Amino acid sequence: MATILIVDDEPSVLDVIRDTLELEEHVVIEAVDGPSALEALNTDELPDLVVLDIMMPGISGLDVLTELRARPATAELPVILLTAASDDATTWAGWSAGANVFLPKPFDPGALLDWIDRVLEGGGEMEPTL
Amino acid sequence: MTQVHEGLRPLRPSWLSVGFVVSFAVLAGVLSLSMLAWLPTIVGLPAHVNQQAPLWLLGLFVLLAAVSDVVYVPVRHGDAWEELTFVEVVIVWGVLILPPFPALATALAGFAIVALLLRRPAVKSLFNLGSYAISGAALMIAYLAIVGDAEQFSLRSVLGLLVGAFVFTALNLLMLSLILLAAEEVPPRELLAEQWGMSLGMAVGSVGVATVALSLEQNDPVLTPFAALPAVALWYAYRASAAHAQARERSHWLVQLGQTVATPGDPKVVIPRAADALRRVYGADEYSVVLRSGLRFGTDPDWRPPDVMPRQVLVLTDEQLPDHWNAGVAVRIDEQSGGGVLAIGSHRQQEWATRNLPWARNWSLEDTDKPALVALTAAVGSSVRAGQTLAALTAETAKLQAVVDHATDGICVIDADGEVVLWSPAAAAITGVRYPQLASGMPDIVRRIVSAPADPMGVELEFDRSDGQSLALHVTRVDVVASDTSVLTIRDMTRERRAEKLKSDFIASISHELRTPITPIRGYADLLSRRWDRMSAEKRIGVLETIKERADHLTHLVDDLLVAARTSSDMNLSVDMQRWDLVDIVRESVAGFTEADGRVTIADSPPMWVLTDRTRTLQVVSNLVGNAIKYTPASSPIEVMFSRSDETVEVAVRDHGQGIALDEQERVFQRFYRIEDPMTMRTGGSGLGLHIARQLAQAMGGDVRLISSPGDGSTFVLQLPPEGD
Repeated sequence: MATILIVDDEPSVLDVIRDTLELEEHVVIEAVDGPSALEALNTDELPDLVVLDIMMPGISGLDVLTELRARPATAELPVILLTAASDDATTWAGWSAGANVFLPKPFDPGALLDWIDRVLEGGGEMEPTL
Repeated sequence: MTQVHEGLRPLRPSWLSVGFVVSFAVLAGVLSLSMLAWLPTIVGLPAHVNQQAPLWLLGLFVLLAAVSDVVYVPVRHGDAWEELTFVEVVIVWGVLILPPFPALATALAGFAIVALLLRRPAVKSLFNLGSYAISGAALMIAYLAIVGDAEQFSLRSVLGLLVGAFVFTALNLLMLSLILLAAEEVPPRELLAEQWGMSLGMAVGSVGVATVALSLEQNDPVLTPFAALPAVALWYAYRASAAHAQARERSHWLVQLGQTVATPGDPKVVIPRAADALRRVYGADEYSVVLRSGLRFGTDPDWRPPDVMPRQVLVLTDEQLPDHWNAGVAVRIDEQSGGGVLAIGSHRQQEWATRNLPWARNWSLEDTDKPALVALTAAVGSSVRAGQTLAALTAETAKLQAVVDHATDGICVIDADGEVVLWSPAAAAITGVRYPQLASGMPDIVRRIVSAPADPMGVELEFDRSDGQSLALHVTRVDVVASDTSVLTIRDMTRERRAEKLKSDFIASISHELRTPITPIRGYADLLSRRWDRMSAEKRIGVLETIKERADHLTHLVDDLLVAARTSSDMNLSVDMQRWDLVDIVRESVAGFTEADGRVTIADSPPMWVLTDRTRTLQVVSNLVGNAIKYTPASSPIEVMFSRSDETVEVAVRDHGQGIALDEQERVFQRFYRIEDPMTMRTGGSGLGLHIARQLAQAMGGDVRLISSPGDGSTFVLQLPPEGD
């Protein structure tokens, strides 16, 4: 069981990720945009992992990830990036910003859970494929 | 003594001027002659004058005058000829032994007879007779006024003769300069400067010849023939003078020829001008040029030139001469299109004297002149070649200039020092920098362009424009070693880059829009299949409703894409036009936005009947209202209002959002256009809603327009054609 912050501006996506994780006994914290995600991570009680959407209003997921990596407390925090954009530039930008895993939407919930397990076990690091 | 004969070419100025001079000469001549008849009654006559001259003496003087008029030396002035004669000698002689009137009248009679016999033109003859009458009368008046009762060979009589001869010469020169000015535009000052010395010499010579001959005749008649010796000397003086005048004429036309060949141009202009100067250099009357290219110049358009070898001066036979020529030579003229032949020569003479008298002007080319003629003709050929080359270059330059002026890509040429030496109109239009501005310094945009590396693939340069837009230029530089210059082409890629960005943004947006609803569908489907037993019944129903709602959303999106595809492929949007109440359609559309939660207020209105497609109109209104809901804060109200005129029924959807800048207002109707960056856009969407709304409205005979300003919200107005109540 892990505490996982999920960040997405689309309620239905947020719902399905939350339901998927909760059915596997994970504790879920939700944020609907970049600022609220950064706010939720500005605490001593950090989640074990963040599932972060890229395309969000105001501050994009890439900006949030860059900010997290710049903060000492969250520099090593595992982050799985979700994105509906699957172009090479976005993928490369995700890896450059320091994502652990890059999952394109629509994703297989089983695959998401597998990656969460692998990342939490410390072995999860997806190789970039462009 | 000089008299003028018309040249073989027509007198150039108008007949009025020449006519005036001739009329004046005749009138003044008649008056002068009449005055001489009265003169003896006023001043008396010297004792040595034969008061009653015998008829044979008068006849002798008529004969002497005629002979003196025929024996002449021709001097050319332009195309007119001055003929130096011994007329003055005869007049002086007559003054010494005859009363004034018979002396002059017999001389004039002699001249008139010669004019008639030689069939000289009447105008020329009248002028010459009038001119002789004036100057001869003046000579006699001056002589009689001075001599008084003095002896025939006294100092006083010689003085009288000299003064009279000078007056004769002066008046004759004056009349000559007048007629040459009128006929040939020869400046009088030029003529006087050239002639006065020789004329004075001739005057003194005439007096000397006349007095010596008379003295010998009276005292030692046997020695009279020796009086011809000074006359022969005078003849040679005339010839020397004529040669001098010819040399001056030749120098003048050599300069003209030099100027003509030094300024190469159109052969149609250069060749006739040069050929005319050339024939004048050699004192010829005519020229004729035939080029193998077909061009012909000169007086005989049908002349068929003989073959002439290079550097040969061919003396033309009678068969080879152009029409109406009596002598001529031909030389080869070389020019680029195959060469040709140039001939100069003289016109067939109309007068018996000029045709037959050995001293008359029968034109021929001296052997010593031939090499120079060949060289000068070669110079004309070179000039024509240069002109043809220049014309070809000019034509090529004009083509290149047209390319430079009309190429849509900008063209820039820089020299070895990096200075811009060519800046095409397109380069100015693309960069906004005109060529004259470069004189006062190179703007940054130009400096970066000319600094582009020589790369056959070109380089891409980006600039920020003053209007906030970016300018994308593709610059290709080629270094031309031969001319030590560099040629740069500048292509404005701004539209292409904007289109690429639009496409890229669209792909990102549509990818997001399609993948996002699929994510919960796929995710929940997977959950239901794997974790059905762990989910409550209520949860399952909620999940299935989410799947259905997301599937509907996808369907709607795909419909939008299909409409957009139709509008871009010339396929007509089918519309079913019928009479509907627009207010009713709007109410139904707004009712569909359950999430709007009372934000949308619809103004009270009676029914507004329009001719429209109900389903399409519902879609348009939904797009407009949906846009207003999406792009404004949740607490911000949205008003829907109606208006009607004779031409249109309008429904306006007004929001209180951030508004749209003027330069964006038309672009928001473009397909896929999104004001926001797709990475951070606050609202989803394909960028098709407004485009589809306008296309559908136009298909129904209406339109969608936008009224907006930043900070003051936006109003989208759907216009539809009205239908009677």
